[in-house]
Amino acid sequence: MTTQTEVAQTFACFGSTCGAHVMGEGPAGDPADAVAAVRRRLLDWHGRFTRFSPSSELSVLNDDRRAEVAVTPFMARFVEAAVGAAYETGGLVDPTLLRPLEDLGYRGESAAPLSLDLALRLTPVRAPAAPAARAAWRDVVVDRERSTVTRPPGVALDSGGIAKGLFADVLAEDLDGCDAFAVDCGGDLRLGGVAGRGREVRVESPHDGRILHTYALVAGGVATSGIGRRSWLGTDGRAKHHLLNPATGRPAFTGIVQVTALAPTALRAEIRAKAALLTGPAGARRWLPDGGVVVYDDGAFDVVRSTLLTD
Amino acid sequence: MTDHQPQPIPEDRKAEARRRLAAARRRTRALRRRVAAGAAAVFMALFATVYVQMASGNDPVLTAFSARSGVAVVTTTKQTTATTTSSSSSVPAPVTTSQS
Repeated sequence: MTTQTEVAQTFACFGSTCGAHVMGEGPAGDPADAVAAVRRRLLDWHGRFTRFSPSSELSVLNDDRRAEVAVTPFMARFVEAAVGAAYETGGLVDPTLLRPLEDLGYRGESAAPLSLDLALRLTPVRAPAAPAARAAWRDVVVDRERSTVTRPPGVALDSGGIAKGLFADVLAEDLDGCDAFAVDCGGDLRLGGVAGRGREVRVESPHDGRILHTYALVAGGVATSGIGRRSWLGTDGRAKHHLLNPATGRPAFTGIVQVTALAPTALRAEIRAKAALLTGPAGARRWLPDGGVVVYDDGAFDVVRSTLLTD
Repeated sequence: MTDHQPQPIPEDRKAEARRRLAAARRRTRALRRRVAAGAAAVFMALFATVYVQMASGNDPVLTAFSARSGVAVVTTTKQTTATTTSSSSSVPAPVTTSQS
């Protein structure tokens, strides 16, 4: 096997760390140009899709009092993906929970963090999540040709992990001619490349950061959803986190603290990871047909073997 | 014909035989204990080595995969907003997924 130069870059984005690894020239130029382009696009998207800035394109859409709003083609694509996630999971992955999330106190990326251990100890009851009876996401309609979003005013969309998965997939389209690449959108990964070379994908524990399992994948998407980070103490003294049970609008404590899902795309992996976590221990594995890792409250974990192309 | 009656064994010789028999049993027991303790110690040492190796995430089978990477050169440039790394390798560098 020949030796080649791989260029990698990591940077802060989406309140997390993002990055790109590129080996070999492709449509985006040489590896250094390609990773620089990934960084530029992600930072641009962060500015447009963050819900923490009132001037972002997403916030402007959410605050618009009209029923039908003209949006950019890429925003229309995101909204379509977010609503598609709800349809695919029967409403379990619900993108219309932004207002309840803000009401719980999650209004900025600097919310005071609460340790996972403490959050679990403060919340004794475990129950699987369920779709919301109201299902506001059914009222969201996207017209990709006209580039409009129609929804009842007041229904606000949360970019969350769905946007990160979508971004990783879109960037992969640009990098597809490279020998090997990996795009990391804050933990949502998309791998590929024409050389068919395997890359180690390590799954980290939310409890202590150790590596729980390592996959060797040539191509595909990997996403991790969990409650280990972005937890905080509410004014009522109860632990909160950003993954809500759509049926109650309250943080979901299901007995699972983290799920990593493998799928052909990062978007699909993100949807599966969230759905598995919200489903709880009894049904989580059915959301992982291409593999994944389920981590439980007590630190125990299950590994589902990968069906994706491996080295 | 003379009858040969077995001579009775003196009590002091019986006592000596019992003492020697008991001493031999003690030595055997001690030897068994030493062998068992040694075997247990060797087993524990090997088990602990394997356990630590696996618990640290360094599965030898996976390491074999990594070993093929043969990283020759790694250069890192850290700016205030981004870290860029360039490495020569035959296998792509590993990536980690965790909750974002």
